[in-house]
Amino acid sequence: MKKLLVIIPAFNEENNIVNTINSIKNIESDYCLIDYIVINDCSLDNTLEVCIENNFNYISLPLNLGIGGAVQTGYKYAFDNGYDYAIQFDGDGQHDATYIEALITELEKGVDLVIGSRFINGVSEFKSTKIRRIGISILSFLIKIFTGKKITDPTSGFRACNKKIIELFSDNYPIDYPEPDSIVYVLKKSYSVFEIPVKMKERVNGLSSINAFKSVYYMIKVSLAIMITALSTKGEKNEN
Amino acid sequence: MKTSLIIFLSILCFILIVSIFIVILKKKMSLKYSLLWLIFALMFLLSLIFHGLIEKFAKFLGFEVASNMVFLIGFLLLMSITFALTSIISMQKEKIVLLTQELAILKKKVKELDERDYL
Repeated sequence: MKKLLVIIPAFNEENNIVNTINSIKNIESDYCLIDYIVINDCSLDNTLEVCIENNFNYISLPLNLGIGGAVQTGYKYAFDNGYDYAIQFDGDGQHDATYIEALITELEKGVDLVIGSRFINGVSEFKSTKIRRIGISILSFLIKIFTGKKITDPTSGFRACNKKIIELFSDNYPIDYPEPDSIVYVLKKSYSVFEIPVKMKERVNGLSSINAFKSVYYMIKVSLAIMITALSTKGEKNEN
Repeated sequence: MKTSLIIFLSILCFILIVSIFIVILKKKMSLKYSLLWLIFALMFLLSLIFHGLIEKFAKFLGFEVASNMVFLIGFLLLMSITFALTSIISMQKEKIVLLTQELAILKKKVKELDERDYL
C-alpha cells in the first residue's frame, strides 16, 4: 500500500487545529495509508501546546518562515520518509477532508499535481470576496499566458502531488508567493497539473494570510513572481 | 580647491580608512565585504591627491562643476554597495530558511529517538 502524508501548515491555529486533525484522522483511503504532519510555523498562540497535549504528529519551526517555508518543510519531511503522495491541507478549517480521496484518485491516474478548485462546476458555496475573485482571475490569466494552461483556482492551498513533485518541492519551492508560483514552476518543468472541484468553507477562526488592504501589493508581487518563474524555468524539461 | 577644504576632507578620509581597518581587524566585517568599502575609501583618497586632475576630467566630460562629478561617482558607489547588500541579504535569507527547516526536522527526529529509548 502506498503512503500518503497530509501536510498541515499552521500559524496561530489553536482554535482550529484539533478539528482539522480529527477530520483527517476520520478519512480512510482505498489507495493508501494516510499520515499527517502539522508544521507549526512558530505560532504566537498555543498551537504548539495544543499539538503536544493531543499528541499530534508535528514539526515546530524555531523561526516564522511564512506559509511557503512551512509547507516546504512538510515536503522535505515527506521526501526524507519516502512518502509516495503528499497533500497540502490548511490548518484553519477552510478545507474539507472528504475530498482527499478524490485528489488521490487523480494522482492514481498519473497526474503529477492535483489542485482542489473552488471555481469548477460551482460545487463550493464559499467563493471568497469579489475583489479577491478578480485578483484570482488575473493570476489565472497570467498563468494561461505564460504556460498555456487554464488554472481556475491558482491560490488554492488544497493540493496533492506525487513523489516526483515531492522531490522537486523539497529541493526548490517558491517561498514568497507559493501557490500560484509553484503551479507555474511545475508546468514549466513539463509535469502535469489537473484541477478537481472541491468545497471550501469560510475561515472559522483566525485571519487569512492575505490581508485585504495589502491585496494590490500582493497582486503586483505575485504577478512578478509568476513571470520570473516562467522565464527562468523556460526550456527545462524533466526526464519523463 | 582651498587648502582648508583639502585638510578637512583628508581628515574625513583618514577616519574612514582607519575605521575600515579597525572593523576588519576586530573581525566585525569579513575581508570579502570590506573590499567594497576599501575601494570607496581609496577613490576618496585618490580624488583628494589628484584634485586638479579631477577638475580637468570633469570639464572634459562636460560637468559644469567638478563637485557634480564627484557627487555622482559617490552616489553610484553607494548604490552599488546597497545593491550588493540586497543580494547578500537575499542569499542569507535563503540559507536561514534552509537551516530552520533542517533544524526543525532534526528536532523531531531527536524527540522520536528519545521517546523510543524510554520505552
